[in-house]
Amino acid sequence: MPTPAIEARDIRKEFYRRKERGWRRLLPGAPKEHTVALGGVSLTVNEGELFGLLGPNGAGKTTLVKILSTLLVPTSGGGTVAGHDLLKEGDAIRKKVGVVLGGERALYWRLTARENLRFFYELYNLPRAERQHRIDSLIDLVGLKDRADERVEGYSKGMKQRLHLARGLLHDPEILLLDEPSIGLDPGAARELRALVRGLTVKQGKTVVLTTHYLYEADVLSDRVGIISGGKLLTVDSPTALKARLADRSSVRLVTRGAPAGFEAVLAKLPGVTQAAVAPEAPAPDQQAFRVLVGDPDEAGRSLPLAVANAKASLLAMESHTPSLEDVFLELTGSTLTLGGNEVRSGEDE
Amino acid sequence: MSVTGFGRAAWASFIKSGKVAFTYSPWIINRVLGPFLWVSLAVYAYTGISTEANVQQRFHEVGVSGDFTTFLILGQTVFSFFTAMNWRSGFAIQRERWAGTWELILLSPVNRFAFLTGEALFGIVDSGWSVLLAMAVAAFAFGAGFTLGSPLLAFVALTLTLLAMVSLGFFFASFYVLSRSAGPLSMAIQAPVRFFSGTQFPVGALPAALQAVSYAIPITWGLGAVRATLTGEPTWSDLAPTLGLLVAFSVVFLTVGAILLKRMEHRSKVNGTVHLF
Amino acid sequence: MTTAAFRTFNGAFRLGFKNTLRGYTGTGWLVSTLLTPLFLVASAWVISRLVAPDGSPDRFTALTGITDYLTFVVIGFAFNGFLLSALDDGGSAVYDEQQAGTFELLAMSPMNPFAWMFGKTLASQVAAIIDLAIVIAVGGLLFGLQLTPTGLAWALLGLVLTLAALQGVAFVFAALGLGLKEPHALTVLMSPVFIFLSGMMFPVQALPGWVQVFSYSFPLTHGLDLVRGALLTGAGAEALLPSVWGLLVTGAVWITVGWVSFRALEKRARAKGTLGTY
Repeated sequence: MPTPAIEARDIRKEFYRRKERGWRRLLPGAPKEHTVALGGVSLTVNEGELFGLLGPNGAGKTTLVKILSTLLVPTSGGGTVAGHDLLKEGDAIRKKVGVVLGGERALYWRLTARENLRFFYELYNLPRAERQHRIDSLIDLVGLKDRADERVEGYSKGMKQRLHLARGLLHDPEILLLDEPSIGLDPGAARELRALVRGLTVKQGKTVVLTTHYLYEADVLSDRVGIISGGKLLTVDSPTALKARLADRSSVRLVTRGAPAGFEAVLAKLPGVTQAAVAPEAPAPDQQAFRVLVGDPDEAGRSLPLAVANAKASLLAMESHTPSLEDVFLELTGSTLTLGGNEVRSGEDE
Repeated sequence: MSVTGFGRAAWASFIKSGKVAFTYSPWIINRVLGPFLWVSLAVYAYTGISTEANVQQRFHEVGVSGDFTTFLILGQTVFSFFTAMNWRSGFAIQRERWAGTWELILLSPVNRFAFLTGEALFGIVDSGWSVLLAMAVAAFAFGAGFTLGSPLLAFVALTLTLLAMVSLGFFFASFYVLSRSAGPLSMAIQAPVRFFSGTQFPVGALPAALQAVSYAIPITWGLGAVRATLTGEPTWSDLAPTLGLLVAFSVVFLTVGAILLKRMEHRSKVNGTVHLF
Repeated sequence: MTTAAFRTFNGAFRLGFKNTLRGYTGTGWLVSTLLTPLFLVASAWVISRLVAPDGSPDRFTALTGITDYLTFVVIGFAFNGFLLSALDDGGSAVYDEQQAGTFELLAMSPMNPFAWMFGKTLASQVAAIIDLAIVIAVGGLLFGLQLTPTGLAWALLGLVLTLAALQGVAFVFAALGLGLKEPHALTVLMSPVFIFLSGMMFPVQALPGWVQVFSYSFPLTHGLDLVRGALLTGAGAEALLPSVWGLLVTGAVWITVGWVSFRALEKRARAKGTLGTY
């Protein structure tokens, strides 16, 4: 049996932060806040696989990526990355793993893209003779050729993100960890980035772990998806298999006006309904949107409008569609992913 | 990490620091004028309140041979190197945290000391030219004189003093990693070091009990050695104990700094504070 | 000041004051705030004992008629915090907002920018009263500071007028920060210049005549003259009024220059699209 590229075994991460600020923190008995960021996560990622880690903000995705990259030490648990022990062989892991944390920072703004890459190339002690060629190839790959000699401070968000990717690939790592790589990008830039990422596994055989809270991204890119919420890995399977679990269900989107607070709890108890939650993107401020998983469409078709009427609310829309990963998440957790207005429903970038 | 790898990383860090630093043109003006201004302040702190003859006599009474303006110019010069090291290598990690690049550096296999070495080297070069320029201008402006008995001895004294300061910078760097008050801590250290190191006045002017603190600071010894080589004609055997002490200080602070840095890095990874500043 | 402008001033002042005070509770700031004045005053004490064991340096006494050099210097250092606030916090007023990404939002709002600047810079100046208190405490408790209580009213007037006048310095440095994008370099450069010119560590009269012209164009010089005159010599109105006028005139000039340059550089930044860059 081939060794998995990544194997995480019961990884747990807890944080204790002092609530007080400044010198008060040093006082004896100063209260501490205890947070469990990861509550025992185990997973394996196979070589050459593109593994998507899907979950809402605060689920523990970044924490897990940072642990796998050796940037964070787990409270308990362990594993292997590229065949090396996670806790004892950090140096070896860092040579084989590329990490893209992204964001506006994490680059030297006053240097050009080429100068940034050159600096990191030297830190990795890579072959001098190949430096020029390697940097040029990566700049080409990420589409920054025309702007490579301009200072990063003038780059758009998308360009910075692409430069992050180039930097993560400098040392030709076996494994690439991407933390929300398309966050904040416009649909076109996000599409380009995804194509690049896909090419890394398909053409170069790299193993990629990608964290995201974008359903579409997880759905179209990933060979397998792990759904994480509240520090726990809820399930792992291919997107197709995950959606197939809900083959006997439908997903209904309800839009109402005047529905009372907590109405989703009422909906969840209706005959024919298996799960219900507030959907984050109501069309107007005075309207409410709900996402409902339905096991018996006929029964739900009767009970849902009735419930709205009983609540003295107006039913503005009721649409049914085949379940998506969002519905899988709903089924598992009883809530929707909060997507900040970026939810994609139709399977296309908006 | 191999020696070649260490060297490459240090050189890359040196070049990167240089390129970033010289994009900020106001800082270049600062480097040209700043050291001279502080030297002038140091001299006027005395000549503004007392006659030169009186100050000269009082300096001689506490064991200073040579001109008091030379004493002050050299004090401020060496102290300027210390502040440069404090802000350059001591503060290097904090700067990277501000830029958001510290995590990336930790994610690479680079030796952390290689990175800090490059920063320190740049600090020496960057501050060196401006400090020496200030020294020359101040000497001209205030009529101070230097006596260079043995250029090699002076070079060694200055080099070992710089090495001691670099090691001190590395030592402080680890505290700055864990602290979210790196800037204020950097500033806080400068005041007592300036006071105790003999920068502004001879150590002999301090009460005896406080002089013990002075001699626990490597800069005091380094400053003494630099002053001796630039205002007199000491022999190698005269300065051997001081130079040896500077080497010992450097070894101790570098070693402790390396251990602390590793521990602080691990602690920041356990606490999840690597990226915070 | 209109209601809207007052609300802007009040909001900026409260936020600035809160942020500055919060900084003081950080361990590093606390250590720095306590250590720096202690060693500043201690250095002056050592220097004074070195050149004049009786505490009365010859040239100093001849120039000022004052025998207590240490108290003279302690008063100077007590105002150091105000100077640094004007330079550093004034210079960073815009820069910090740009780093936080909020300056563009402020620039897009209908707020009165003068009121905003005034509130922000006054906040850090008022917080710097903590530095003043620490210096006076260190001087009094450890080094035998001696002040004439009869001059307290004039000293307080000097403090208030100096704070107001230093707003102009803060405005100038805020403008320079907006224009040059690197305010700290300026602060680090000009700090020794103003310490030198203002007579913080030695009497201005010790400087060459042509340099004193620059000294007396700086508000802090007049402020220190006023406060020292009141507390060290018990001087009356006739001796102190020139310093009051000096503060008012230099303050007005600096505020005007600062305001005009800030507006000009802001206009330029709007034209070039660099309001948010730093």
